[in-house]
Amino acid sequence: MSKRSYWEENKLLKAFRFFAIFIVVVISLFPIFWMFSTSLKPSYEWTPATPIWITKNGTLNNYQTVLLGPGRAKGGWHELVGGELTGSMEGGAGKVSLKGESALFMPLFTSLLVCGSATALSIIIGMLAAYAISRYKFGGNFFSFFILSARMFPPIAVVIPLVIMFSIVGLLDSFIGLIIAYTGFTLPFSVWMVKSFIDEVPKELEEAAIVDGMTNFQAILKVTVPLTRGGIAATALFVFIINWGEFLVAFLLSATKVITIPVLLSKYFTTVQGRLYGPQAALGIIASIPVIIFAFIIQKHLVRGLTFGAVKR
Amino acid sequence: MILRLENLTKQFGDLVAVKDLNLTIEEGEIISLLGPSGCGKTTTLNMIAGFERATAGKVYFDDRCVNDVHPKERNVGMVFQEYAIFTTMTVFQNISFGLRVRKVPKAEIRAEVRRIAENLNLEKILDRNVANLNLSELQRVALARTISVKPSVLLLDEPLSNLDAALRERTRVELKRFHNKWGITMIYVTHDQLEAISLAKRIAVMDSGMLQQFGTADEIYRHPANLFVAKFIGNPPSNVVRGEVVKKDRSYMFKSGEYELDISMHGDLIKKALKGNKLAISFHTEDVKITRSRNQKNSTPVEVFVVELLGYDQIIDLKVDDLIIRALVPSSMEVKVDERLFMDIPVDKINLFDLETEKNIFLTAG
Repeated sequence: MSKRSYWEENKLLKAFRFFAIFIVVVISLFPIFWMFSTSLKPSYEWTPATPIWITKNGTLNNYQTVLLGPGRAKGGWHELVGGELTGSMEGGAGKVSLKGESALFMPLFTSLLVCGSATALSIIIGMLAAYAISRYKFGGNFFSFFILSARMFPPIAVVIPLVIMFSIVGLLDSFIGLIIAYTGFTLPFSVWMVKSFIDEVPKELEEAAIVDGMTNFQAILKVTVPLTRGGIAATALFVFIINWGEFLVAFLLSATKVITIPVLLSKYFTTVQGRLYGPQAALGIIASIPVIIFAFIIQKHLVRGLTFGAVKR
Repeated sequence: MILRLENLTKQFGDLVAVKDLNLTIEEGEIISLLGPSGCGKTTTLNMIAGFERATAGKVYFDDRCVNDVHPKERNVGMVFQEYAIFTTMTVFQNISFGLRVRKVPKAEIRAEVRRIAENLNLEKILDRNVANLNLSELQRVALARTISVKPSVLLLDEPLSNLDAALRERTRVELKRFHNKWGITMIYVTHDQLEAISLAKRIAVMDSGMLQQFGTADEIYRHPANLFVAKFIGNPPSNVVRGEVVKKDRSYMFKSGEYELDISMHGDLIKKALKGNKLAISFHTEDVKITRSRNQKNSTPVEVFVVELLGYDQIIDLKVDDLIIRALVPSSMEVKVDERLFMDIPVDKINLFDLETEKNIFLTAG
């Protein structure tokens, strides 16, 4: 037996580290793999006795169902049990498809519109609020914590009164209603995240810009915002993902018109077949595409690059 | 431009940051605002620049009160301790920033930036990204950017304190050269008396928001207006001995415990001091003379307590009964701890303070 040297030990450690990372990656990626795999399975393989990892009878029927609506897909899962399924589908998905558009079009459009505008609003308002709190100590020490208080209740406790209020002012099942709700719910996050980034920009930078001839607002826009761009992009992505996957509020505030993707997902359910795992998986795959695209677009801003703010060493 | 501060006061809640500050800075003059941290120097600068609103009092640029003028309209330049360089821009873009904001034609901008860059030894790095500059270069870029818009007064807030000793000295020299050449009115804030003295002709010493003394380096060094200035100026800090003046035969003696010093030579000035009983004298460490043998009849026997070598000089703590007197002498004099020596305090160079008002009696009497 040769003596174990320092280097051998190190190699072992390296191998172990690699293995640990591998496990973590597998665990985090497995649901995505399973979703993708399921989206290609025919209905009889969705919940078999023994798990099927990769189907041998791959089909695009699930995607067809999602895109065209249950009634229009040819050779899909519903043909196995006949046309009665279409009738028993609940709610909007079927109705939307009647407009002659893709069944997915309206929910996707709704989700993009609502999440996009709510994210933009949340970031803009959040940035202004964060600036006031960070620079002018608006509301003192207490205020920034107070903002978070809405997030300290269980969401359901906040949503129910909201539904009642919205029904009174007629904002139920409307785009504006959902946008307001999403903006409000994500605002605490935007304020807190953006505030932490603004805190890092020395106020001397703005002062320098001001004595050089800029107005206060120009200084914020031309000096502080570019420096916090990465942080703002990260916050936007974060807020967008929250909104994109949000179910409870969307479900309670919507009836037939404003159906977001998570709400649509919950409607893939029939009395005969129970959960329609295949179309749900297919919708899941489709729904993750906008988030991935969004992340790619702002990716270059996510890297902080230069030292933040003034160069300190 | 003549800059005048009139009873300038700034309060943050209960905290008085600056109180009744009166100061006039002549055209083209460079003055230092000197004081410990938290004394109100930066707040004063911020009020001149317009970032802080004065609680009371006025800031005058020539005869114009600028209290309600927005900082961008005041035409002041400000150099910050943390440089405030725009890291997303190159050196050229940084220096030309103010000119671009003012929509100066491009050709003019290029010429102006080049001229300033040559003056501050920056012409070779104009195209560099600021991330790769050393601290002295950064601070000079900040200075260049500030002066590019030709401010009527330049405010510098501890611009050298983040630099290491060698760079600090070099940048200080560049600053002085720059001021000689451009003759711009400058206010230089620092807590370093050496910087203050080397750059400015006149120095304003501040403490707890109040102006303690405004005068030349020599005035402040030789004739501190009050006890704070006496303690603050001098490196190492001056000796301050508390005691009282008593009349003994025909001479006046300063008495602290067993220690006595004949200060009759100050004559009439002392008579005023006799009224107040609690007093203190101050004298610089370098004025204390140490000898091995008694060379005057009033030399005081002392015992060496601590010896600190500083290179060329050394600080010696001398024990006189309960008093510790510090002396700065050349290192060439070999001194051992516990050695017995004789000390002479130069009576002509002392200052006498009333402990109640903390004012210099010699100055108030005259």
